[in-house]
Amino acid sequence: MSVPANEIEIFIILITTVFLLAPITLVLFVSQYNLRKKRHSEEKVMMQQNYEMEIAKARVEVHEQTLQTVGADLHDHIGQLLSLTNFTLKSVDELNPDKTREKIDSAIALTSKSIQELRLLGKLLQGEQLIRDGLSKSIRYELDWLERLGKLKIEYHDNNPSAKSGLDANKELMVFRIFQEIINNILRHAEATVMAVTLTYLDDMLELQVTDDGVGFDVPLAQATSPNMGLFNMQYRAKMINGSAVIESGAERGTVVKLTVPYDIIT
Amino acid sequence: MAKYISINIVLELLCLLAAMAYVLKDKSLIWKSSIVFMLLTIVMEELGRHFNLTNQWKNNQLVYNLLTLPEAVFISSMFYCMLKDYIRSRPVVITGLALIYGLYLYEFIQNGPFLYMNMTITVMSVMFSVYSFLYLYLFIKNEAYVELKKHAAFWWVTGALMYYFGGLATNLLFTVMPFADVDINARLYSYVYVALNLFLYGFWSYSFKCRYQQTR
Repeated sequence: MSVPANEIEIFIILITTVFLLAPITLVLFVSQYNLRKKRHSEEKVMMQQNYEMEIAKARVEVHEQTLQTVGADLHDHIGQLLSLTNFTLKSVDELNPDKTREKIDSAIALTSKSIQELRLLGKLLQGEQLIRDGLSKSIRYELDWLERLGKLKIEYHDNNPSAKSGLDANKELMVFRIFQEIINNILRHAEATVMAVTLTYLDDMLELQVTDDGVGFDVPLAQATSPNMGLFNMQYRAKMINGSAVIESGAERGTVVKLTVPYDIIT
Repeated sequence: MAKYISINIVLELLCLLAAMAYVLKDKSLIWKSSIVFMLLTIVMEELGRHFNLTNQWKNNQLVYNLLTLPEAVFISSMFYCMLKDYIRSRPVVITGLALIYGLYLYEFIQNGPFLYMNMTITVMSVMFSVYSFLYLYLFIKNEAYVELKKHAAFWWVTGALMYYFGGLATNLLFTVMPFADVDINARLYSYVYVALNLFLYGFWSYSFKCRYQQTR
């Protein structure tokens, strides 16, 4: 049985087409993959820009919070102490030397107290600067100031206070800002009496845990009803530095916030 | 005179013109050698056609056998140039070239210069197809985005892949399943090769243009 010539031709054309389609498909695949690479690199640039923007925002927020604290402290404490000193000195009666001595001593004590307060305030400001040198010190100064307010009993554990965290300065700033947000939440909503802060330097990551004995809250409900509140912000920022912020809480159970951030890989 | 003009020769001439227009002043000697290779191809193609028209089949085979030698060197050099951005390509290309020349010598000793060196051509096609696949693999593996529309190396390799992979498949098809009618055989074979040449020289001409824009 012989095959007609036109059928042979069709057969050959079909086979040749299939063989040519293979490299064409491969080239199209490479071309598509290349487009994906383009999208990926654009996304990377965008993520980097977002990260830088978030760092700048965190820096401004840390700065603003410090200034707010300083302002409030100057008004509430140092301002009061200096007014009292002024009042004491004005009431000095030179004709009554016994009382004068007592009042001058009192003014000296008030001035000393003001200097002490100013030093603490100075350290708080210094804490903002110290983020560059170390997270531990910044957290320490923040807690010192908080403790002095007398609203909370604070327990602080740091397994290696002199250690460098293994995070770069931007990531440390972000951790510090998250820490400030946790503190703000506790002060505003928790009605807590005791707060425990634990900073742990693990082999490959930094762990910061803040626990309070406050009223607590329903975490899923809070996330669902107010997605833009601090919780979301904390978790978003933790994610930006490849970390995670886990919040555990419940009504009358207090709250535990555990922040973990892996160290930067040095290649 | 008209008998000496075929579609393949026209395609080769157009590619030669593109090479002269775009890579004549190229900094790379390898890219520049495209002009010499295209010129040589046209001369050999015309010689082959002449022997074909005058029924000197043996000489026709000899011409294509001779063209294989510079072809192997030129294509290998180009692949060296393309692959060196990703890997140490010199040993790979030199080994491949040694294998092609070894086989060539073997077939020359076995069959003499007048019989078409089928094994050498087949192995050469396999090798250049593998180089093309390797290039595409390395291209994908590389994280950097490249604007393909203007990427000379990519289009050059695409042309080579289409020609050598398609040619390999065609050679195998006609070797494994020779059709009873010799005329149909020859006609189809030439049609397929016109298509392959169209891809090869089309992509190469475009790659010369890209090269010109890249290095301008």
